Amino acid sequence: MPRLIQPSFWLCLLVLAGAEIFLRCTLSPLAVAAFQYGHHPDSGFQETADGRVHLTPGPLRDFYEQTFFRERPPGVFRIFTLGNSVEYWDAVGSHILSNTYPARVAEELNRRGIRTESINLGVTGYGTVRNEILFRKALGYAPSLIIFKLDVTNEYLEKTTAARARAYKSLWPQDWLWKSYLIQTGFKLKETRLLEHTLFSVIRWTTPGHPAEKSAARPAVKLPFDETSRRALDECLQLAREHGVPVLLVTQAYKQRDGAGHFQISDYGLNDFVATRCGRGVAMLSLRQLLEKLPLEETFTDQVHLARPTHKLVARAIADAVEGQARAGTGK
Amino acid sequence: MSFNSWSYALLLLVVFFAYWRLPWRGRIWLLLAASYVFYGCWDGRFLALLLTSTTVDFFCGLAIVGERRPVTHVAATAAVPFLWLGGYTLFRQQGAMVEHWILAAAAGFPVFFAVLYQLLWRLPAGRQRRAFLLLSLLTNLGVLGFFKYFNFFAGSALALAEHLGWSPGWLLPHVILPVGISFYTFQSISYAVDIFKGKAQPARDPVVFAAYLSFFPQLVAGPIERPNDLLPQFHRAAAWDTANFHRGLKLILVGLFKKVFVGDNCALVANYAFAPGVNLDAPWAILGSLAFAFQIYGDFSGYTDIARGSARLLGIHLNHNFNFPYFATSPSDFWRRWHITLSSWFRDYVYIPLGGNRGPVARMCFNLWLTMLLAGLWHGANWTFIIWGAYHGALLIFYRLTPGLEKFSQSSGWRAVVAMLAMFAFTLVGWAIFRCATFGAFVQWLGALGKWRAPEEILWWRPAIWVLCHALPLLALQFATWRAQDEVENATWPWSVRGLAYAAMFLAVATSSAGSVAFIYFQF
Repeated sequence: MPRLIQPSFWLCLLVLAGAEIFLRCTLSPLAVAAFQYGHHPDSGFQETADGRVHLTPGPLRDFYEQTFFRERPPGVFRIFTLGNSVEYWDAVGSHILSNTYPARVAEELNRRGIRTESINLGVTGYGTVRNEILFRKALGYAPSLIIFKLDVTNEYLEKTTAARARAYKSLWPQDWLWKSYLIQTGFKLKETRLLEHTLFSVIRWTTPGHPAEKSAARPAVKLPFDETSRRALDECLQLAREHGVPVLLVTQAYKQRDGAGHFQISDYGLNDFVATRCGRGVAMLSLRQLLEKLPLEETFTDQVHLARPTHKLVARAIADAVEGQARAGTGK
Repeated sequence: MSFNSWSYALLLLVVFFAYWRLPWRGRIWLLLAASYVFYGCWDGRFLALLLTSTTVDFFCGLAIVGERRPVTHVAATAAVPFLWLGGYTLFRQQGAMVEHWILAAAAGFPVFFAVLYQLLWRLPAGRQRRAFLLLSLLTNLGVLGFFKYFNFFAGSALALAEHLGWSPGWLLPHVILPVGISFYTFQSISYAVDIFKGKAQPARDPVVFAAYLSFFPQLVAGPIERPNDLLPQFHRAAAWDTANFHRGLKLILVGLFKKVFVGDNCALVANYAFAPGVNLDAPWAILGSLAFAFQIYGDFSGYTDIARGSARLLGIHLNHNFNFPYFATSPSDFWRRWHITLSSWFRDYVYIPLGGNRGPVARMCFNLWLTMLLAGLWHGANWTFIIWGAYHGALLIFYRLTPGLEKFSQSSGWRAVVAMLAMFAFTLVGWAIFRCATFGAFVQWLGALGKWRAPEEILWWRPAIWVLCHALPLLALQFATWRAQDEVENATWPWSVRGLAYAAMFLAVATSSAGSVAFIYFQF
């Protein structure tokens, strides 16, 4: 009769355990604990004793490297911009901070004589839920204005990462595997090296229940966000009002083809939804309204991301919208 | 309770440890209880259907061999479905409720069945056996027909009537399809028919029979077992065998690998390609069908492996259902390799009784085509399944009637490769029919084959890399086990290679990117 546990099983166990121990010895918990990382308020923020805050690029909260003082210097108009890859990339695959519209807003306002500091908190793949965490964090750094870009594209990803974050913290046996560094690393490697390069857009646009898909199929649908996302946004706005921080809600525009193959622009109902949230301290800027008269082939680099000249244009529009406020805030 | 869920793992673990500590009788009760819990987790109401099938087939099976049971036993057993539904209604206050007419039918069933049972015994001896067989067949086919096809046929008839200008304005009740009904009714039918033909002996213990019919690893998606293969294994206590334990674990690991790593990940691409409103071009149409081919193979053969592995852990052997189907060289070869227990069921219980290969060529073609049409319809109440069956029937006839084609497909060397590729291409077309939600969608898919550049935003070659990354490891596994023609058979590999392969498969499953996807064949 064969042995109950065979050498091949021992080897399998040894390989898995060895890899786990190796990763635990070589990688920092924050870098590997991927599922908590994206939802951990402090990841990516490094505060030093001299009162500075450093934003550091990381595997999951991949900020641009930026530094600012914890306390806002007097006379400075400080803007935090929350968004996703549209804010992170200045064109698809290219990320030069100074080319992105959040940086250009500061450039534009500085040119108009307003001392402005702009911190770009755009992280690729982020949606409303994770941006809410960043929003709360940003409120702690004395912002003069928070620009919150709303986009339905990442809502599917947002839900899966939120589910994983819950699984990471959970004590139920079905979530035990997610405690393993090996599984987490393998999962993230597959997601970032393979899935994002080969299948990301396919999944995002075909997952049943994806709000963008629903809106595309039924243009009458007015609310692209589900209850979780709406609640997250409302909590952000409530907090901003309590702190007396103005918020500019920027709504994403999407380039798509109509039945005849011509380009058209859509907001998937975002404008109508966001308009209901505007009011005391909350304003809105619609990218659809801003860009719809322009040649769409040159305005976007794909369905969502903006071309470099468009970043400039958006920055100018934001500067126009907030100039009065900025002058009042800095006493200019 | 899906095979790739933690609740199933827990159930299997509990059953496994309890099973090997119990005597034979205790094991049968344990299997029965576990099977009913397993099935009840989908929808507790439908356990009544399973109990009804069990009752009818148990008494009919005995009656076919001339064994009569007291009518009080018959009535009492037939009352079990009603008692179950009644209890379910009492204790279940919210959610899925049992409608009153179903309760009334269940209440009337013991009386009706007991009276019918008594009446059939009054028939002349020669006709009794046939009458009980007929009763069993009509019950099983009636249940299957109503629950699976009522919506389809009634809806189609109403649509036709409206098309012809007659609109009765009837509102059809929406009948919910019980999970796995096609599988266990077919198993019941083969039980009654095999007893009638003298090929099998009926179970004389109702608990053993109920455990046989509801055996949880194969209850909802097969393999469809014959009484002679499975029932004798319930009549004796299996002895512990470490080799069975190893093979069971390997089957489960390989099954999870096929389902979670291959099937679910390929599904991401297939779902896009076959989503309504997607503007496909030829590369995307082919890629979509290719992705679905690997999805359905990974999904269904993965399910079968987990079923066989779970059973093997309990010392019970289930039949093979797949044998490298995409390496088939002809349609008949494909059906000897794909869903083997279903195709052999149709061969033995439909094709051969229709006349099989006997008689003139036209008759043989008709038999073949009708059998495949029914096999298509078995998969679901949708025209695309019927057309898929008809397509495969036409392929089988085409290969039979074209001179030299069958011979060519049986040759070796480069001819075998050509035959294999041709058959795989035919299979891909078949999967497109199968996967499309409507016939119109399939026509669009066919139309896409003529468009080499569609105004499509998403490039096809990137998702193609994704499909290859998930299909190639499966093909590598098949290549490595080619000689044994069994993806689990790796005894000739060095133990170190086996250990590394297990670790790789475990990691592939644990780090899968796709969310949990339901097994495709559960809906059949």
